[in-house]
Amino acid sequence: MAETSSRETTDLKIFIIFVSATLFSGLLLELSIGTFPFDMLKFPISLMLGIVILLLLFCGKSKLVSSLSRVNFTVVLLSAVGILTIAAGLIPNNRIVASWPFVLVYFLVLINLSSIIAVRIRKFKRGDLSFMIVHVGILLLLITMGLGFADKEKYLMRVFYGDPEWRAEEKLSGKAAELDIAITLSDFRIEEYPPVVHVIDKNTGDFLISGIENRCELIPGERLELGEYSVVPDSIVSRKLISTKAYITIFKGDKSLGKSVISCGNYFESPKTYTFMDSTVLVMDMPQAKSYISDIIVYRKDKETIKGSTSVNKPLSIGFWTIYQSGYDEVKGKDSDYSVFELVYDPWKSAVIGSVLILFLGCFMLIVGGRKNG
Amino acid sequence: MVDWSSFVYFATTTVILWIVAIVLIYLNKSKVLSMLFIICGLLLFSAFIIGLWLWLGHPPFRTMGETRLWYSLFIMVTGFVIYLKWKYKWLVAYSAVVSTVFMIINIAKPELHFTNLMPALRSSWFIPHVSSYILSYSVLGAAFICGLMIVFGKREDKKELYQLSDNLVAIGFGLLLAGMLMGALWAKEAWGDFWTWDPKETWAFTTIVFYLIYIHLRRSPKLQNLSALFLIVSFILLLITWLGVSYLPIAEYSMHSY
Repeated sequence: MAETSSRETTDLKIFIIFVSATLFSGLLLELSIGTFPFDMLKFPISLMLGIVILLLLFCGKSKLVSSLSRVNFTVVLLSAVGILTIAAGLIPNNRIVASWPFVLVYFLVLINLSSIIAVRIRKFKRGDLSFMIVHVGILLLLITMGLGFADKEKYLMRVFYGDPEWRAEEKLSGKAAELDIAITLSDFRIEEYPPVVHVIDKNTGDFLISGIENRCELIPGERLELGEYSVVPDSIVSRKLISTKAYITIFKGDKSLGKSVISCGNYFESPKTYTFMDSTVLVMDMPQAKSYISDIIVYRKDKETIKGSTSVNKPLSIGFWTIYQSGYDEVKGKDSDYSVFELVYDPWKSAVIGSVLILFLGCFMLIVGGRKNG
Repeated sequence: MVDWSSFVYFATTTVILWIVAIVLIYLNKSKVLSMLFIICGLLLFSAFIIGLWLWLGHPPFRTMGETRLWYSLFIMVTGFVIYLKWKYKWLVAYSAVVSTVFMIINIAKPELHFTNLMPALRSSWFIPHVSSYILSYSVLGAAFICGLMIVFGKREDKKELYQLSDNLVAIGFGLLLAGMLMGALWAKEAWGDFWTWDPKETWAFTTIVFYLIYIHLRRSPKLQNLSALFLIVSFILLLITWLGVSYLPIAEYSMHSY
């Protein structure tokens, strides 16, 4: 027992020295040659590195691998990661997570993880299943997400109605680029929530009834109580080239005061308001956007043309490309003459999603099984 | 109709029911009755959440006040379930206290605004992502109390407490990681990146790392004694992730509004 304990202490000391030395050399590299060159990890280097790490899985017999799988190594590594990310969370605009020390420790974590799996797999018992799934899931996720980072490309493309566009701007550098993918914009539209109205004092401009706080939405046919008055929207018109309008009937108690139209206005129409008898005014707020949608046609070299639509949270995926709705002319709103897309090229996407699914299974086993399965 | 103005009535009644239940538990009086009181409180509080959900027209997950509402509910559910399984009276009392504190904050500083969901939040990942996190926060909150009792208590049952905290951390960590993974899948759908090291993400990552340190320390014969300390530190990091990030200078770079 005493012998095990002293071996443990030596182990711990060695691991602390080893990880500190790694951090220190990372720091020296950072100071001498600058931030970690992620371009270095581009395909096929990324794939080869991933395979090398996975090859460790077959070396469970090796003494070195067995030492690298020790739990104290994991603890020391995690502590290093924890300290670095605390610093990253405190200092605005830092590049800690892209620095040499972080990247080197990340690689050590990958080595530690595959060593753990390599050793455990040799004496696999049924009870180890959830342990295995969690560790394999994390290993695959860290490989595919970390190494895949270098292969990702992001562009912003502004597409006007009519002509196909293939020129884009690289998102980070702002450099112009010609892509092997082109897009035509057929339609851009904004889906809106029901318009909100407020009652304001004509003389002071103060809110008497704030539609935001009191949830005063105009819904056709539904009576909206506004203090001693109420309004019933007969219809709401919202389409291109006009500002959103509501045709309303105004009541005081049960007595109808007549019909009117109010609108929020836009870049060429001024807003229309309704003045109640007592010089308070009913105004309409700009409707909030529910969704931004672009209908597009996508052309690729030597491949079929695809028609589809892309909206926030529902991007259009074609091969390794994914097209995200990213912007429009905010002055003109739904009359925008163009739509801005973010084009992301990410060959590792499916592999990352696969790893996430494995890890989900691991989480499920942890939640259901508790400690005994961890 | 249920809206925020009725919260104070629902909350007060719920708290009174729970206080009665806990007094009964500590007096070792009718167990069935005390459980009935806790369940009634939980049902009443859930009724408020459902009513608010119907009134808002979307699940109440959007504002800080709304997430506190779920925390109040889940922390009590967690405490109650653990009490039923392991009979820890202090845990159910603690859960009720924390739950009440969050209700009081919601009455004093509700931070509610009627907002429609912006397009990026209109995703099927929204509910599972946030609820998985809130659930894990409540389970890990209980583990935090375990940690405090191990470090500062002079109790004989440290081994038993460690068993409980190991279980709580396994469950809470599973939920925390699942919440994070759902967030990553959602971010890929909405913005094109699984992970961007946004300040909230950085702190969530650090929290995960510290719970991992706890889990691995428990398996290190040499360093095991340190592990309870990590239960406490990890939960402090969790609170920074949840509530504190917005007060850090780095917050202006975050896309998480709460």
